[in-house]
Amino acid sequence: MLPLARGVYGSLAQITRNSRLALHTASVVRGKAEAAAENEAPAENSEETAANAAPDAKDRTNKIPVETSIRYLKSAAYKTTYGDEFVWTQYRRNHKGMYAPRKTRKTCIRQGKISTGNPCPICRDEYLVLDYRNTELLQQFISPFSGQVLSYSKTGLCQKSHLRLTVAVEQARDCGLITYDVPFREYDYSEYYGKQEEQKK
Amino acid sequence: MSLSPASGIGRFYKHSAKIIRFVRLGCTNRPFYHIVVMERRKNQHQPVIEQVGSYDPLPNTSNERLVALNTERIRYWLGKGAHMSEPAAELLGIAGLLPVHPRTYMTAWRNRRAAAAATAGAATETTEKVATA
Amino acid sequence: MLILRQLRKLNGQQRLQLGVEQTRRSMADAAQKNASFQYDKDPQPLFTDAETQRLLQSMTQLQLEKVFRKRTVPDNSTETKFMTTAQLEKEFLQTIEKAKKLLQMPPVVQIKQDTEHIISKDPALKDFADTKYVFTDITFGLRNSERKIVVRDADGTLAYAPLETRKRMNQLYFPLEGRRSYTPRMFTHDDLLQRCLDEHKYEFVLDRLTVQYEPYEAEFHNFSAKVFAHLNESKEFDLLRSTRHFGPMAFFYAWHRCIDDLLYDMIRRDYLHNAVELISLSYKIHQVPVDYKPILSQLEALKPTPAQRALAELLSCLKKPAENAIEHEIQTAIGKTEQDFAADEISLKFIEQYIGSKHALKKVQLELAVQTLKEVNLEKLQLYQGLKKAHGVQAS
Repeated sequence: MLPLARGVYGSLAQITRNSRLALHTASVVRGKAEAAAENEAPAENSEETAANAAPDAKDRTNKIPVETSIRYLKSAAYKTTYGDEFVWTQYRRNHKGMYAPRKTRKTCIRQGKISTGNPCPICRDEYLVLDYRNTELLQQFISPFSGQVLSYSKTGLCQKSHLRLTVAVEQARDCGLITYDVPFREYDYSEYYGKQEEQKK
Repeated sequence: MSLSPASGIGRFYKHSAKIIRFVRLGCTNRPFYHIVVMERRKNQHQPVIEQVGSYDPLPNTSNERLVALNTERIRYWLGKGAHMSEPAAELLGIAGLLPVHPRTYMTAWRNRRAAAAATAGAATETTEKVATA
Repeated sequence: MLILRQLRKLNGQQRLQLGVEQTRRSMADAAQKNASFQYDKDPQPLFTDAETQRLLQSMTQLQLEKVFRKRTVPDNSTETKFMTTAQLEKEFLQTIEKAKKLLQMPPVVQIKQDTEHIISKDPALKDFADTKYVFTDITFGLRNSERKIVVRDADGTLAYAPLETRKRMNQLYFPLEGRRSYTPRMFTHDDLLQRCLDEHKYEFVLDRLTVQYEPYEAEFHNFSAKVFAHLNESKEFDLLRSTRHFGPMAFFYAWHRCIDDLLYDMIRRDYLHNAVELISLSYKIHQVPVDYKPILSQLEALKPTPAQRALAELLSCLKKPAENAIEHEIQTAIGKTEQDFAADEISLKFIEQYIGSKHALKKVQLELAVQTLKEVNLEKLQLYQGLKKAHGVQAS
């Protein structure tokens, strides 16, 4: 009796604590299911759902290819989930007390499973894949003013995702997939034309 | 130990003996040297008078050892009568700033002799093998 | 540090997958393909010539909002100040100077060949070490080009370093902001560069080119030729207008006798004086016996230089409405003054002469453009005169 009551109580408390986030996360999961139904690529996933009534929503062992992720970002399922906002705008961190800890959590996924109740914006939606080719996703994390990658204190990404994000952005810049303002190079003309100019005089 | 600036913070007497020498920085199994001017009697990890170059003894990916020399300041200090440590003198000799140090010639000769001995040894070995077969 | 390490790891993997040989081969292919687009003789005397520079600068134009566009750099803060009118005018002058600096053209020079320069050969030093030694002179205040960098080979020869080593050492000891120590993948993989060009990121590619390569390197010439050739096909010349790359681009087209597309674009956008300048530049480069100088001087008298125009634009916010406010209003409504009409007439004559000559390749297209422009101009002129008459403004 007692353990059951505690379980019920605990879940209730959890719901009240992060009702808004829970709602949003739920909508993400729903959107994801729609995406799975829409796209042909994760067909095996839908088969799994058919065979197994309740697939583990926290399972992250199935790696989604980047191409699927790029298509997902353009799909209607993505639109219904996030609307016109960035994937991180609706995310709020859970923390004790008034001030959030300086750093976000180390990782949301441990041993192929989501190990937390409030995974970060990238980890909660398995169809968001951080890769240098996925420029549309990367652009959401780049400041339009300074051109730098936004801090994790703003986006709420876990440390592992943030590292992967910075690496992907740097790679994308290296490949020229993301443009940035190249530092201005001032030429000293005399370095290239100096001798001839002197001879002329 | 924090690094001192290139201009150096080492205190020195006007007429004390100065030396251009290496200071070993880097860490275990990864040597890196600064070429510095300091008082001769001092320990290498004491503050230096001036840093005049750097030397990376481990070859890089294109198989080069990189040396940076502030030739203007080196010439200044040599003109002031600074001494040279032997490795530093060897390096400057290789750079063509000073005449090549005799020890460099000696190592070159030894290396050539060792290489010749190795090839000769290999040749005799192969002939022996052929003979036994 | 962690990021760098990760990147290096990833880069290493990719390099392994691709194979260095393949990339080298693709580079060689690209070089061969662009062989026809090389400068066959030294372009320097023609490029640095004062008249050419003036023509190129005038063609580049100076659109302030484009030169001073908001840049996404870590510190792009702005400053707000109270100023007197005199101070503001001085500030405007400085702004124009700053803009000119930002529009500095990358130098056009010939590809520099590697020359071997041996200082000494010492056979007694053979095998003194198992690797090369590279010595860099880091004396304070030297320029990168005059810095001495020497190499002592393992066989005892002391020689000046080849260009590639020079660049590497200069970048190592005196890093240039924005330049990578490795070649960015954008420049090693042809498909990535092609993708950039197809998305019309011309300015980005050229900016990166200027930072990554020296103007005398073969890669700089190959890649810029590739960009300009692509641009000539896509005809998006306006993307480069009022950037530092427009001058070299125009010079490149004039040199390789393919100015017609750019000319068409200029006529279509009603930059007739630029078109005249472009034609005279090509005449000048190929030494065509057409006397273009009097026409240029006539136009110069009628048209302000880009810097003057930009300054006037800045100062216009200070000016109070003058007594001939109506005339001014008419001019702004039509976008042309009487001087402009006069200049257009002169330049149209010159352009038609060019189209009639054997140098023009796309005659029909150009003729059509000129014809439509003429009609529009005529309408504007009529409207201008009609408005003037209606408002009772005396023809000055």
